[in-house]
Amino acid sequence: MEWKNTLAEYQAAPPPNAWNEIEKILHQEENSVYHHSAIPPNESWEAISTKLSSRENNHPSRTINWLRPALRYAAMVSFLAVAITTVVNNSFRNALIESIQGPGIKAALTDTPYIINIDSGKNKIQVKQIPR
Amino acid sequence: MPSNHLPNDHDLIEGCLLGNPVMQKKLYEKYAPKMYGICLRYAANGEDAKDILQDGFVKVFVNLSKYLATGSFEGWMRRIFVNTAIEHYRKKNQLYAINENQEENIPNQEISALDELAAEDIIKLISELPNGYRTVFNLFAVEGYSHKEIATMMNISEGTSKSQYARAKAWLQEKIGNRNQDKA
Repeated sequence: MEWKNTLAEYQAAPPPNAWNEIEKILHQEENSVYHHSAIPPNESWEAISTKLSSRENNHPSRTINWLRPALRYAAMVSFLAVAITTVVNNSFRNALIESIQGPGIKAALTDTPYIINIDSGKNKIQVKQIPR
Repeated sequence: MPSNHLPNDHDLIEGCLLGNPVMQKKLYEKYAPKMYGICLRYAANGEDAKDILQDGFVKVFVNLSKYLATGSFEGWMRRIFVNTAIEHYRKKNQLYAINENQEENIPNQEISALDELAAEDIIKLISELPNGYRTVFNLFAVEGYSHKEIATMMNISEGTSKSQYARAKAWLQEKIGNRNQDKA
């Protein structure tokens, strides 16, 4: 039988009582519903055993398990090395640019576009960064 | 099932942790009937029960190292099987096809002088309950979880758990009523 009625319909006309019968069994000292057991199908163990074997076969070996954190550590160290080198290189480049103080060179060396204005009156060169 | 001599739980667990297939089989033989009983209560049919049994045992063996020998091993296994059953029906999206807004309260009535029900009858009736009702009924009435715990386990509200339980009760009452009318 399928559940067809709404709860309101059940409340309006409650079904014949039988709940206490169920409760009696559920509240027995040795709850036989809770402890109910049944013989499983014969093929179940074979299926479980196969699943376990395939998991073991797919599972990486102990060497890989040991290697994994080592590789992760090596990757982290490499990343840090590259990051530090890049920062140091940039600082070096900036220092070089500053030391030369040539706006034309600065404009050529940096990625940021610059407008170079030559103030002929003062004989100075002004470098203006183009806003992005 | 051949099980003349079964080692105790401690030895079985030790053996299984070492990956000994003989011990794994012995552990299965010891607990499979009880766990299959749980699977049958939560499953809609034999095929589902079989799937839950297999998945549950695989989880037991895979997670055995996480078992802390502080509580009952059977209780630990039981929780794994109950959770596996809940997951099984969650995957199939069959748990919550119910209107959450309807509130319950179906009152208990006087006991009727009807034929005595056997545990087997109740288990059969439980297995016929719609999926959502069956899970909540099993968790609350049979396993003894509170509605609050059920709400957390099933990711539903406490009110939904209560209303599904009430509906399960009403459904069972009607089924038993019909059964007794047929007998009369």
